[in-house]
Amino acid sequence: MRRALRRNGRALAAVALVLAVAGPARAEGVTVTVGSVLATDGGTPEFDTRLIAMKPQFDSLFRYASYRLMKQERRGLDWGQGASFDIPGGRYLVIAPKEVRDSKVGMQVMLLEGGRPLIDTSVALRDHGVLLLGGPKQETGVLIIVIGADTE
Amino acid sequence: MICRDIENMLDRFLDGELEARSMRAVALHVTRCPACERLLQELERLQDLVVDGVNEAVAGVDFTRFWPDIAARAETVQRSFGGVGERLRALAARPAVIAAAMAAALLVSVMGLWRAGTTLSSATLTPPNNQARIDSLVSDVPSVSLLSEPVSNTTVIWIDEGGR
Repeated sequence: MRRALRRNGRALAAVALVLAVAGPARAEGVTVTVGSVLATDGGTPEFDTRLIAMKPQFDSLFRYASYRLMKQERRGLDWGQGASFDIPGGRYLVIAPKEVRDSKVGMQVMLLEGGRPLIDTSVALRDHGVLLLGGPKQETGVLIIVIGADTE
Repeated sequence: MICRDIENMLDRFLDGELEARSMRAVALHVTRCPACERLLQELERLQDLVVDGVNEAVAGVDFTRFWPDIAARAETVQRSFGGVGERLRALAARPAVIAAAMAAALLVSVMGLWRAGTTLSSATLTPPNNQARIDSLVSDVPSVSLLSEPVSNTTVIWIDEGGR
């Protein structure tokens, strides 16, 4: 009887070990993706194929003829660690992830241009979601900055 | 913070190694202090030069010569796993271990199917919900709007720089 119990115990331990390995990973940090999109009017309408996943949102929100991804950067950040992303036009985007709560990633986002902060905001962004930050003038159009956060 | 404090932190600012509060402090100071902004730009130029130099040097390296060495090391690692294989085979001969492994495999399969089902349904039946919560917002520009895209609830912060 004791032997059988020991055998079953070992089997259960093995199952528990496999479940622990197969379970969801703990969020150790966050991967932040920043994409700078140039939206312009006039000329032949074009849509950058790298942005195809964002097309429904762009079509629904804006009325620009063309969208082109100028730059994209992805970085893994620890909680409380800030990072500076270069944005076209000599701008900086400073992002400091704070915490994840209820599947939302809290972060401080600052967009800086020359001698002034264009935006300094504290946001809670849905995990795996995106936030759009748009409007700064760039070349003949405007910039739309796509900020994404993924904890796994 | 004074300029000297900021100067000491600029390297780590560029490398993204500062903690969040310092990162914000440096970023804000640099936007308001022309001397520190110039210093930051010089450091950026220096960093670009180093990166370009390294990239140029790496581009000139013939990596194909490394392969024989890597292959030899891989063979050594493979041999060192021989003993583990024998122990696993001995374990696999025990009925309790076989039962546990089958139960575990079944559970993992069920979990995998459940997860795949979740992903599929969220991808095909409901649009992604991107709604973000704005806790605070400060801006130096004349007009800032908050928009929400109706289907996916994507939040947009729109800056209107006016006459620019």
